[in-house]
Amino acid sequence: MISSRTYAAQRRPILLALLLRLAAAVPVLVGMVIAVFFIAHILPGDPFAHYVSPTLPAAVAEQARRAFGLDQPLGEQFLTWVRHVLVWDFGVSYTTHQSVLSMISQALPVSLILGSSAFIVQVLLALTMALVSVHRPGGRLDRFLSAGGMVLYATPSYFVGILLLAVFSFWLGSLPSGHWQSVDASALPPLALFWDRAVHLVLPVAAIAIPRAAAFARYLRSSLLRTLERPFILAARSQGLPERSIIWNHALPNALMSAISLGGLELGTLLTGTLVTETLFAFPGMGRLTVTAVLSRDYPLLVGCTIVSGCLVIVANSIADVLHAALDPRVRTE
Amino acid sequence: MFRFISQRTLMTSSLLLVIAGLVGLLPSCSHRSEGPVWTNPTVVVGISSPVNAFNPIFAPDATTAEINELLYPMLVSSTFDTVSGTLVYAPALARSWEKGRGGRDIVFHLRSDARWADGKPVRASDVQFTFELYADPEVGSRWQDVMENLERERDGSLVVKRAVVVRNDSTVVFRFKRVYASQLFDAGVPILPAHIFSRIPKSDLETHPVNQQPMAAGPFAVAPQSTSQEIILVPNRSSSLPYPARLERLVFRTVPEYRTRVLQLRSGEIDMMSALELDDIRAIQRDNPQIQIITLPPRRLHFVGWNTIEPISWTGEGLKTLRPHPLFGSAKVRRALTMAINRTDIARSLLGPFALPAVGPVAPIFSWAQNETLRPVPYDPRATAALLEAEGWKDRDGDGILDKDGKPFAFVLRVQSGVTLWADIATVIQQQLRAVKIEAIIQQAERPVFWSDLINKKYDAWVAGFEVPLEVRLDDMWHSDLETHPLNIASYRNPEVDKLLQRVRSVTSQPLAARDLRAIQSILAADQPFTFLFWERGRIAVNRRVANVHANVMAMTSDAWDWQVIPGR
Repeated sequence: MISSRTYAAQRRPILLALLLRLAAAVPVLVGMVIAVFFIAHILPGDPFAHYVSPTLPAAVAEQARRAFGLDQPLGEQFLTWVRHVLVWDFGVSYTTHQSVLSMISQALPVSLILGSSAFIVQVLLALTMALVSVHRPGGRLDRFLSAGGMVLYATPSYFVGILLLAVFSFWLGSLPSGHWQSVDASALPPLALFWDRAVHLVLPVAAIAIPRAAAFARYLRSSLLRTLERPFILAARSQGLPERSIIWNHALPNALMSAISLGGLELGTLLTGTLVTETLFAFPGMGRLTVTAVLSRDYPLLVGCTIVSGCLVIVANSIADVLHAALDPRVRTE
Repeated sequence: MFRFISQRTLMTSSLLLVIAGLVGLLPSCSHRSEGPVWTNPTVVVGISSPVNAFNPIFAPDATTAEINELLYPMLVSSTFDTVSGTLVYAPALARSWEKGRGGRDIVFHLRSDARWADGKPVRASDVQFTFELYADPEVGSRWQDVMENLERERDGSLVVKRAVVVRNDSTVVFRFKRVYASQLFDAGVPILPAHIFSRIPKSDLETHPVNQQPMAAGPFAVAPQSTSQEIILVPNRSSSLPYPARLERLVFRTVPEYRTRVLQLRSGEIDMMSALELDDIRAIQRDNPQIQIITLPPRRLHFVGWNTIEPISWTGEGLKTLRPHPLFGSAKVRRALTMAINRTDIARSLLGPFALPAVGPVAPIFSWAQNETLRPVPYDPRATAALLEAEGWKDRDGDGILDKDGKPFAFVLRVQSGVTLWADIATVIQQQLRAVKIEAIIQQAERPVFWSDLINKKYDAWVAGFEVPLEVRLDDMWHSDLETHPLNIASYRNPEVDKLLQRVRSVTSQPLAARDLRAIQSILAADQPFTFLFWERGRIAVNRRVANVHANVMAMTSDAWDWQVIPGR
């Protein structure tokens, strides 16, 4: 049993490490935002081309540009933008005329729920596949899972999504083919709304998780096999420990160490939006929002999305680092 | 130790996962079996992009404009008569109207029973206020071009109060500077509630919450639970324009991916969508008898554009610097290119019965203005070779590409990325031109870049298309003054056409206008600034459970207040 004093002594460095991690990420985030701001503004293409008719008098188009401050020099636009961001104002979208923050606050929960659900399913699936494989390496089941995993890994998520849609939504008609919730679901009582959204999540989560789980499982399997060949496992076996205990209590924690960093990267990309899945299943998440911003040259929205995505990637990787440190005392000491 | 995930936890989670997978197979949790979705007379329309605001001042796309017309009152409602090829107007907010001052004034008499959703009457002052707002350059509305024809002051300025005059609460007079065919159409813009919008500072108009929860007077109102991804319209019980909608709910659901939209249509999750591809129409007609396909009259033109001037010679500051395009500056070369493109085959293979051959820029829906004597330029690759040789283009170096003065006949053919139809057309054209020893290199550009560069005349050649307005308006694309007509993307200049366009604008008699329009079509057919490919018919798929759908050339939902769901379907 760990005494409270020991626990506190262990906890402090982890928290400190987390804070240091986050602090170190701030300059990266700032640099990224500056780069995105200027790159977005120098990209070819007129953000007003699609809604200010070219037949209108030039004064009207000029007025639209002036309203969004685009008549100012780029440096001045940047300083104005920074001043607004400091008071938590990310500006107004050129295309929707809504506040960027409100648009992001609508899309972000969708991506967070979709991404984190998909990540959990992906990890559970991968763990199950890897454990089954290493139970008898080279056996029939292992070979089947390896081959199947390779096929799934090589299959684009778009195709997996279409396949799932065709089977479960079109042929069987048992699952909704997309959307975050049913029509008018907000009128449902909380439990029914929760169930409604859960049912809507099944196919997109599966479309994301299945191909990724296949790749993750291959990685975990190799890591587990390598760990099982290490001397401490031999020592455990020589002490007569049961195989199940060896795998669960000794091999798996060690094998997971290296997978955690990979998981952090995966989580980061999942939380910032999965464009293909969001588009296919009509999920209004961050991926779609960001791509729409890029394609319509909606600078305020694009920079807003970049900041949020950058923060999410940093947080996800920091979580992975902290988890790594929590599980491995050597990392903590470093 | 590794304690945070035990064997039992993992096994339980895996079991739950399997159960979740099985749940999908159980009919008991079908989204169609129960719940609020499918039991009410709700009609769901699948749309490709979200609708973000219901403010007619800015409505940036056709779907938003369509929805706005279901919410806001308009003086007149218009339909397109495909027999006469003209717009026909019916009373809406205005119960009647009469013309004065030789047709330059239109006096509208408003209905006395029209009410905003908050119970306040719709008055003539709302109409005047709306036009003041639309005309204000500070607001930057999308209706600025409508204001161009309102009567001006002596100094050329527009004072809306003197062009849109309120006589009393129910009478408003529009004073136009000239008589033209679409005066009523121009007066028929969505009217805004002055008592709401006058309180909003102009700088806040784009972001004000009223854009999400508009004050309606039309047959529908926006339900509070609407989001940009899912617009839920409910009947506006106080509407008298013409009456509250019959449906309990009309939902516009954003389904960005075309394939998913089709699957949802076929599985019954959405009731309606537009722009179906040929293969899907065939599959639906074969497998889904519950879905009817409505074909609309052709209004969308697809073409290959040839820039008649050298792109670098366009500075936007005058016409003096313009030089003819080294390849497409010659009408004979453009005609030769048209003869090398098998337009019939392209249309048949890509759109089947939903394409009509095009000979010029006047849509077949304007039967009165069509030049019936014109025939499509024949597909004749041999004649192409002969014509080009006469122009000095010959494969002198034997590299398989025509050349002249040491320069090969090669150019970049641009298409907008993401538009499959145009990409397919470009690919076929590339092959067909290769057969006559011309090299077309296809390059794609994103939408904002493509249209911006096109307007700025930066391209040599391109495949594109557009929907024509519901009146014959050729000035924008074919008038020689490139500075005032930026939509003349081919940089086409012809003084004879300019004269005819001027005459068309000044005459009020349709037969006289038709005569000049036919002459213009003849000239354009000879000059071939575009290779006119085909006119595309609109396609709308509707579940047969929805009755009274009379989709027309104007909009998919223009008569949505009359839609009903057939019980039992």
